[in-house]
Amino acid sequence: MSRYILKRLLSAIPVLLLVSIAAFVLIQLVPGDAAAIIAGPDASNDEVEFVRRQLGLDRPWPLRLQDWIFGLAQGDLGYSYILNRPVTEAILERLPVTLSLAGLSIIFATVLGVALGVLAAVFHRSWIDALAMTVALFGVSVPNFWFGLIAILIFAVGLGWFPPGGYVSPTESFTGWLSAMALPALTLGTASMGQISRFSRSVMLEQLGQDYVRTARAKGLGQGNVIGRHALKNAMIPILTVIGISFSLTMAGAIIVESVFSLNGLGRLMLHGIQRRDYPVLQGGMLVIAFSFVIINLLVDILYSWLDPRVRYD
Amino acid sequence: MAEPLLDVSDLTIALKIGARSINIVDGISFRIDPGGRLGVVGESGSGKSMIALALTGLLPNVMQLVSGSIRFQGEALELAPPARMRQIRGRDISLVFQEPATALNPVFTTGRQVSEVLREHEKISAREARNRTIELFRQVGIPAPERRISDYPHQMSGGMRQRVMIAMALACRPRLLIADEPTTALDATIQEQIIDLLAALQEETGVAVMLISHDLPLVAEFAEQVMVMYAGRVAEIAPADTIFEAAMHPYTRGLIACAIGLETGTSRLPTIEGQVPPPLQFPPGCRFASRCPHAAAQCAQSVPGLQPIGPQHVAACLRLDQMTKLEVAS
Ligand SMILES: Nc1ncnc2c1ncn2[C@@H]1O[C@H](COP(=O)(O)OP(=O)(O)OP(=O)(O)O)[C@@H](O)[C@H]1O
Ligand SMILES: [Mg+2]
Repeated sequence: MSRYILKRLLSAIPVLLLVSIAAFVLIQLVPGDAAAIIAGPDASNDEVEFVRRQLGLDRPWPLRLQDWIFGLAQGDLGYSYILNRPVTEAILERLPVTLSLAGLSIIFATVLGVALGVLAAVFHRSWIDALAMTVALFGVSVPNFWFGLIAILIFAVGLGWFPPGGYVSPTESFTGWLSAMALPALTLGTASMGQISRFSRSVMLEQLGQDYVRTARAKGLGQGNVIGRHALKNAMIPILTVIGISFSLTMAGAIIVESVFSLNGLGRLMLHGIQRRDYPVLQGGMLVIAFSFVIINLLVDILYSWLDPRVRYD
Repeated sequence: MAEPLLDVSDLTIALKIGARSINIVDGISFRIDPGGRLGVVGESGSGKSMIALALTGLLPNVMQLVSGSIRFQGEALELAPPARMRQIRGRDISLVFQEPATALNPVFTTGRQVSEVLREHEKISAREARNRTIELFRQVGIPAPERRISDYPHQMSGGMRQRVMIAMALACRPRLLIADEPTTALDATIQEQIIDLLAALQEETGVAVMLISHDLPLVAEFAEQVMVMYAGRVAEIAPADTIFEAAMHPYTRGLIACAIGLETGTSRLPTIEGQVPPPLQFPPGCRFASRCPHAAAQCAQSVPGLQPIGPQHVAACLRLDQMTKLEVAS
């Protein structure tokens, strides 16, 4: 088991290196002269050249790639002249917001999604199934931002149960953090919730027809045990994959949801980065998001091996 | 005669297809004595598994127990509420299925899957359950049981997995063990081992066994009584030791001819022409009529009832008198 995890950890290293290079290359491919944009529309040629030298953009790209990789190894993502601060610092400041948002929304999507899917499968073709799948369809088809705006109108502005926006750190006030994140996480997680519940339903239906479920019943086990333990543990193996995929959806959706709820997270930072051609910030942000994918995949794999002995002993 | 352990009479199970309902199992009666061994034989689709499932209250949703009674130790199981059936399953009546590869849960250890039955039905500690599981593994002939209880199903061979299934079935010392084709999925040599194991455990524990199989010789060797089924009905019930000579039903005789052909390795296997008709095409009269070499006009019209032939021997055929003559002639 621990050997398997170690193997997976080691195999993540080349992936991370590749991702770092890709983030660098992608930014090089973006059209437009960064120096000219940062210097401003009224700048003279000399001024633009000055900025270019300042940014190190006059140096050949292999050298710049080398700087980037060596910097990374020390946790240095470069310097943003637009924000006037190190990129690492700017990202670290925003990261907790996005992580809270993505984490809570995935938890919400998983718990509700799996619960609805299992209920729908167990009560296949009943009104419970129909209701659960209506909720799921709503989840996958309603756009994030629209759902967020409606949620703000009803629960924040109308009922006043939650703040309409802004972030509270959990170290400051845990309940404040939860209530600040509730609506954004709900908004962001709804689509994933819909996908997870639809998928869970079909996986669970398949599992409930398996021979081992009949064996579990033949042993005299109760419904809860047969479904909640025997079938669900098997079903969670494929469902886990979909949860992993949903996470990438969540990261992409975070940009919109952060804007709707005026949360200063990574998504908004990058949105501003795009508007102002702040390449170092974009490059750093992309890298952090890519890293988070790699880490999520790693976690999914570790969970796999925990759930499925056939993976563990391979 | 002693009170039977299980007394099934006129059991009818229907398959619901839309508004239609077809009797997949049609008015079957049989009994099993305490410690008795009943063999059930019949081709695929004859309803053997549905009987096994009906006895334990595990019929799939599309199936319905239409009529008949199931008396188990004097209790009417067809009327028992689900909670009562749960107590009975795994404790008083247990099941062993055909495919040990899929009948065990792949994500739990085999030991846990056995101890789980014990803990469900008997209030015992995890430690005691573990010890009893090791003992059970030993009893069913799994080597190094202390180690093997932590094996997952995929780490075991088919034969070993079926031994685990048997250990699971016998864990709570049931009165009746239903083995639904326990060896069909296994190699020939392993098949024999498993049947021998069942026989040995049956003698040791005194559990009654209902052994379901396609294989007439295998069943005849194991069982005391053999029930031959065709398309949801009983064709014949006969004592196992005389069935090869005394069989009266044309279907049983067909099965015997096939079995003898297999044994002597005749180049052209004698087979019964055709297949069991699918439920939607069950004819109104004798369901075997379309394949029966002795069928007469009446066979297509009326359903044959079970006729007594000898002690413990009944058969359902309208042409039984012809059959006797045929046998003398051949
Ligand atoms: N879930 C189901 N839905 C619809 N029909 C079914 C279902 N299960 C079984 N049947 C039908 O019921 C009939 C009896 O099936 P059953 O499984 O009892 O046969 P069997 O004698 O056990 O055959 P086998 O030797 O293949 O196990 C068959 O015609 C089969 O097609
Ligand atoms: Mg069967």
